Amino acid sequence: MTRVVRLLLLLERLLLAGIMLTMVALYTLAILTREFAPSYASDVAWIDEATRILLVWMVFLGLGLALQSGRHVAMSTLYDAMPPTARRLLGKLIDLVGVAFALYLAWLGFGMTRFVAGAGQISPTLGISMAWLYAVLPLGFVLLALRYVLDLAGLIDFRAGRDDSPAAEA
Amino acid sequence: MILLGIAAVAVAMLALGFEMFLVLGVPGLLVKESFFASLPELIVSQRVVGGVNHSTLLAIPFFIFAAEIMASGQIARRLTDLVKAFLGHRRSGIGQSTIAGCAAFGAVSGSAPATVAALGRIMHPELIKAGYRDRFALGLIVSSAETALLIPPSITLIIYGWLTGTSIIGLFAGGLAIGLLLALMFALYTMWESRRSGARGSPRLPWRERMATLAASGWALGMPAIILGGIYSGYFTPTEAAAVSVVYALLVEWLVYREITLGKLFDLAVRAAITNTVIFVLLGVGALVAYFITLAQVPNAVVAFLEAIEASPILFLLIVNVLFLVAGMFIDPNSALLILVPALWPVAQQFGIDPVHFGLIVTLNICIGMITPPFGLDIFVASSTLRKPVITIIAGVWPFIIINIVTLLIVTYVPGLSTFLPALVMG
Repeated sequence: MTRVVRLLLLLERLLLAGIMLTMVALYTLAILTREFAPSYASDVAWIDEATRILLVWMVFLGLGLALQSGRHVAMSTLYDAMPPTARRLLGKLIDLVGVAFALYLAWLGFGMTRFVAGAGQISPTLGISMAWLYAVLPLGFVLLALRYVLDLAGLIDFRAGRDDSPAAEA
Repeated sequence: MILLGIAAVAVAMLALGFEMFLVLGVPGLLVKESFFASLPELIVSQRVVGGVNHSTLLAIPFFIFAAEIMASGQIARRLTDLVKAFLGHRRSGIGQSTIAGCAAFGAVSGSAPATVAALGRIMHPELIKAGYRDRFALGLIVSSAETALLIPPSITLIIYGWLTGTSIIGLFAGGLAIGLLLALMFALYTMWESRRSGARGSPRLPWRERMATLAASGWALGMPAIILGGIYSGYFTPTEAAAVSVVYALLVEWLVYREITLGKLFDLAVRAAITNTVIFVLLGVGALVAYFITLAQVPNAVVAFLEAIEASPILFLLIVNVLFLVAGMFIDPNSALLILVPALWPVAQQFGIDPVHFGLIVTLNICIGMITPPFGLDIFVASSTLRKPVITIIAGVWPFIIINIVTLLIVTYVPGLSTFLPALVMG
């Protein structure tokens, strides 16, 4: 079980870093083209759309990993002040709501992806199906639901690591 | 009645420490099911992705990534050393260096918590050595870091610009003016405090050494030059400047300062991606909530109310201040923006308030919220990175909150402070 989770973690990290670096590289390529080879500018017009789709993928793919790392924003002052038993019970309650929310959004995202794929909507500059834009919703929210389930089962404890995350960057 | 119930659920979830995207998302879905059940389910996915999928917002992951690279490398320290070489010998020199260092790091990172984390570790020991009281040192670091939200590139200003369709360049120009004003107010207080606590500056450096420090920070100085110069000259869009700043930070830290290895780059990219997710998931879910706020015609109701009490624009702005201050005490800045701006921005338009002026008032309020107990986010960031009790930081932060509120009132009453630079830059 833990080996599967560790493998998943590695995969997520590889994907996220890969997307981030690709976004930077693509955007820089577009700027360089505009500056030094303006006649080819129309050949890189797809980059704006591609980086935006990558951004959407990076955001929702990161949901589960962000939760496991204790990085999601939460106003935890009251929670932290509670006695351990109350904290454990409340933690389970939050996990339950989290699983329900994540699975519902995954379901809605799946429906949206299927709908767009069926409608045959094509992206303006990339020429791929717009369903790709939404396909990350079911994936990302299932990864999030999985983390809530693992926490519920006591296999991970993301709230324990929350305090010393150096910057809950805003 | 149902609405009150949903509001109660939201408040309970917030107070109990549910993840913020649940605090926004679950009530958002409940509102949809109770009041807009006839809307197709597709609208939810469409809004959530629509809140993320936008060219302007692309600047945010790039600026976050650049900040991660700089904070882990040399650029932050070199900028601080430079300021200290020129200001450090004055009686209040170390205090002033902290303010200027935070402003300079804010000018390259755009994130207040990142600034607290990066500058706090460097400047806190120096402030104590210079003879300042611990609580003053902590208050100064936490408050000065807030200028990062105003001084471009500010993530908060980018989000506001996206929500309201205001020019990012105009907002960045206005933010620079107000950020410097706030820094100046802190500097005056620091002069007074330095006299009171008998602080000492560091030894005066001969000009030869100052020039050496300047030379050593040359590459680091290129960073604000690219971002500010590039954007204001119209050479780069803010998003392009953000992408270039990542490449520049990478090249400098990797080739010049030799701080970044391939493995470290991988870790930094993952960290930046996670930080990015944490911000954007709120933008996505917040876009859903904002959609229902508009659909329910909340702004119209606010206008009707304000017309009924014959509110003047200034009274409206003061109400805005109070709303944001209270919101800032309890929720994180981005969530406050996402809930309040869609409701209040159309009202501000009705009153003919300048969008840049309104944006800066909102941002300044958020700055105050970030350092206001009990929930001010940066108090906790400082507490965990500097390993100091929250209570000490709160004690030190109070005088700065008062200075902040005075500045806020000045900015509210004098629109020209916010708008003269944008007018100059944009012609």
